[in-house]
Amino acid sequence: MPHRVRPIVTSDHKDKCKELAALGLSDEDIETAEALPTESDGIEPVAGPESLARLIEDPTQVDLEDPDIRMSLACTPAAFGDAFNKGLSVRRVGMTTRAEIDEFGTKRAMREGPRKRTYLGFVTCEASELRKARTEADGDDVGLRTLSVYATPLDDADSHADVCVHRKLNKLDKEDLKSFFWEVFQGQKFVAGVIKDRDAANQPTA
Amino acid sequence: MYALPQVIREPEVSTAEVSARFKKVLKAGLKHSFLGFRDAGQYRAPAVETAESSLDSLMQALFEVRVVAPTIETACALSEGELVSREYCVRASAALDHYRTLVDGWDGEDALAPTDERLNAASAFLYMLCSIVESCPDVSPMLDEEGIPGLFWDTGRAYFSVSFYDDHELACVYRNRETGQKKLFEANLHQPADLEQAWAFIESL
Repeated sequence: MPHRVRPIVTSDHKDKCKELAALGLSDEDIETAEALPTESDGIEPVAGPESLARLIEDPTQVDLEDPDIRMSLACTPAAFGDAFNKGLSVRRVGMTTRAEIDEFGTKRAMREGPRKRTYLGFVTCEASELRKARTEADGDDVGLRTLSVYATPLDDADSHADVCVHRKLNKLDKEDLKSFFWEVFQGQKFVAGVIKDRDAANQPTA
Repeated sequence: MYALPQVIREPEVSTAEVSARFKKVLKAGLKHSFLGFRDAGQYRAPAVETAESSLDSLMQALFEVRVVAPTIETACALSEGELVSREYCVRASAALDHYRTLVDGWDGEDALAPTDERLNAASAFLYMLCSIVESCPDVSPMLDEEGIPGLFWDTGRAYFSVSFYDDHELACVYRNRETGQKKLFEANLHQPADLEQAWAFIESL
């Protein structure tokens, strides 16, 4: 069964995470699938200690000037929702550099015409942290693993990986997972940094 | 018994509409009364619940109809501009207004715009919050790609979030980073008892 995972995670399906959930894999099967070799020579599966970067973009239209509202659409606990459907794109920091990530993010933010996007930076966490996410369980029982991390190199980005939800989730599971992402990626710290930089930029120069 | 107002006998005037108008007036009075309480935050929520219950009983006797299940409209009938009465929710309220302008594709082609029903639920929650909790940290808005709006607080020490689904259902999470406590619960805007936990967690932030 684990061998059915990679064709799904490397596809461009919009609902690949639902397909993964439909497989109903055990935690052991998920671990096996994560360790399967990639389709690209020299690209290893994502190891637990690896740092993963999630790029943060302001998706709002150019005519919206309120920075608080812009931030509410860019970096909140709800900003990691790709993990619920098409997979949350991340970059493997050890296979690239922070400068390259910034350059990639800046270029990508400019890719779409009708809507202006602004690259704000990136948040990071370890793959092993994401792999700790579990569904709620009764009493002392341990819930099932919720998230998996796969190396999914792209033509122009060997360091690309995907974070995918592996279970069918109810409302509470989703709310829990949003807060989990916020915790492990330290979203509040990132937002505080952006606001600090913004305030510094708005200070009148002597 | 009370004389039944003629307007109620008219089939084209719905009980819900009359109920909403009637409650609107009374709620405004109740709200201002509660705002006058000093250091009584912990008593406000039960007070509101009691008042709601009394109000339903009164209306049932007055109109001799079945109790109309409270809706967002009857529970939170408010005039334009009355919503934001607390500083801590100004930013969130402005964001919810902006979310109403979004269309499908607001964040890539897969991003769904939030529905009016969900946004109304979020606005109603903010209104109730402002009526019950006098002060708390600023609330931040959020919106996911499935069009689910939400509100969250992160004080560093603790975190609370609520997301708004169809049928006025809510999903809530509280995390206390100091104690490791985590609490997940569902609530419904029609059920004041469900919301008690939310008010309590928010007041504790």
